[in-house]
Amino acid sequence: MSKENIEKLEIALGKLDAKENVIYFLTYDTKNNARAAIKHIYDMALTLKQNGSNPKILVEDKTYTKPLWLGNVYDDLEIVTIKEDQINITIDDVIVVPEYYSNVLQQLSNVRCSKVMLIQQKDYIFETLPVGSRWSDYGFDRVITTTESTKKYIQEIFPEVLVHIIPPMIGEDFKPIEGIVKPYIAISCRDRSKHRKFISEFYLKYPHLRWVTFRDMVQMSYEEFSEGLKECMVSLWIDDESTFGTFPLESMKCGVPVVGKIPDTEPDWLSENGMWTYDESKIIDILGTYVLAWLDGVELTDEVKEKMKETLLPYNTEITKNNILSIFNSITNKRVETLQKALEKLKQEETV
Amino acid sequence: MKNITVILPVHKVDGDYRIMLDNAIKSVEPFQNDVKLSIVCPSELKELLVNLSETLEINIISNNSKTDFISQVNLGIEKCDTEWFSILEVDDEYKSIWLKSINEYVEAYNDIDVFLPIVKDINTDGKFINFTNESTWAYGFTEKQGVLDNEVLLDFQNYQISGGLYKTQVVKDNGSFKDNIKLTFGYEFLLRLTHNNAKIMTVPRIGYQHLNFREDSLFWLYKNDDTIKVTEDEAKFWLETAKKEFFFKNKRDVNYEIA
Repeated sequence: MSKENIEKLEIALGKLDAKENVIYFLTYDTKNNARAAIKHIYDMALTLKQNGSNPKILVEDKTYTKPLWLGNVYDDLEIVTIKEDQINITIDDVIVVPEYYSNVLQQLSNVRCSKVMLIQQKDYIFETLPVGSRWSDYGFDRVITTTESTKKYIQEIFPEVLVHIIPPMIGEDFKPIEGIVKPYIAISCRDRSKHRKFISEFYLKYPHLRWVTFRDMVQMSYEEFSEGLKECMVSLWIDDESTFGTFPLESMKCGVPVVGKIPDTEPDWLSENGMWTYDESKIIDILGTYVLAWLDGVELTDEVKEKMKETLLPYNTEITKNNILSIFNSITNKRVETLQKALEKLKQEETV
Repeated sequence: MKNITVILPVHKVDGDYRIMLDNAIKSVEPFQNDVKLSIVCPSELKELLVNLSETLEINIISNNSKTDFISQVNLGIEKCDTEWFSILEVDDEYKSIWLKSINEYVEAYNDIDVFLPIVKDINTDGKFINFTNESTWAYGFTEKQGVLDNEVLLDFQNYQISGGLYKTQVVKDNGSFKDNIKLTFGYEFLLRLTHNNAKIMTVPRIGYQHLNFREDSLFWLYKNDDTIKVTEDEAKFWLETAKKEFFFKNKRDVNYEIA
């Protein structure tokens, strides 16, 4: 039996050394609806793939809808299903589970691979996690999250886990327009009833601006989204549930100023880099004032432009890619260390 | 090299007119490097139009013929030797963003022949009334957002020609304003241009401020002066006339008197 185990460990170590072990990213189906959370998962997987690792997108079954909105950049990523592909997760593998799947932690507790929680929405942590249980109960000793404030929160609740931060990548597709900006307002509002309310309020309060178009930044491919965003004179962001806030950063990267309500969880990057308010009732007045000023030829001050650039510095794609590689390398190294120790122990027992 | 001529028709220079003229000229001064000013006036006023600006290149065009607004503008166009021209009314003014925003659009859209600014209409107290020319940017209003086409013009007439930037040759090729069309001469002009495939676009910045219904202005007289007053029925007539006449490059010798 121990000979068999030694062989297993040696194979596992060999796979880790050759980067043949699989890094599974458990992913949920958004039915091709654009979600920054999904892009984040695919970005991490793609970065690992491009650097010689073996990531796979793990989905429930064949009904999974590929996120076509992301374009064909991610086509090389292999998608495997739990149901049909009967995957065999081994000790050298890694599985990354988003908070959305906290209900399957129990089932994964007997799987002896490296287990990592991915927390992008801290409000969803406890939605399906059995009451009173903690991730470490199921063998999850690492967490990847997107912001410093969420990391802090996790460390308070789950002090035993190691928390890494990988912010979403703000892609290179987002850059200032080469031509000219148009009288469009990019709107991103999670609550659809509020979305309608804000547009109606704007047109009612500023009837002389009814010709200014609101561009609804949903149901677009990633390319359409970035192309559409950079044409806008301003963007409007209202998302109380957001933990990270990709949309404002994408706007800033396009040089499009943001009018927004500060979400309940204040993003790490929040500064004087936009027109922010805690008071939702003031949003439309701020927006109207900005639009009228823009029509009059008022430009953003250099100070705000500089703040926007500074805000984006930590979210540089290369920095994030290096961050991803370094975190997954540390997971691998830790695994190698653990397996080597186990192997040595087994070999010693064998000799005895 | 200045490639824009601002045509400013003047028919009086006394009292308030002088103040308005000075303000109008002042609004052109920030564009001195790119723009020259052509003031078209009745010949008897020429000697009064001196020391108008220290910075602008000004050319006074003395008019010995008809001195109504349309005829004066047409004379200015006829004498224009720059690639582009614009029309400035004596009681109006350019906003400081006008040249910068227009230049951006000229560079970005080299197939466009006319750039209209968004015009801010104010009353005699200086209070905002409404915008003009902005509707081309309303979603779904025109075939291509921002671009005014003939089909839309046939249904919507309210576009302001002053403050626009016109390609001189395109206007010369398609004909200037028709002085026998009352009230809707600007509308007929835009219809004619679009009918002849000239492309018109609105620059979505407030580039021009127009004083609406100033007492003694042409449109005020159309409304209030018994000698040239236009009734509602007549207004409809001129609208329909514009829709019929835009097929013709030059004004036709038609007797428009209403029985």
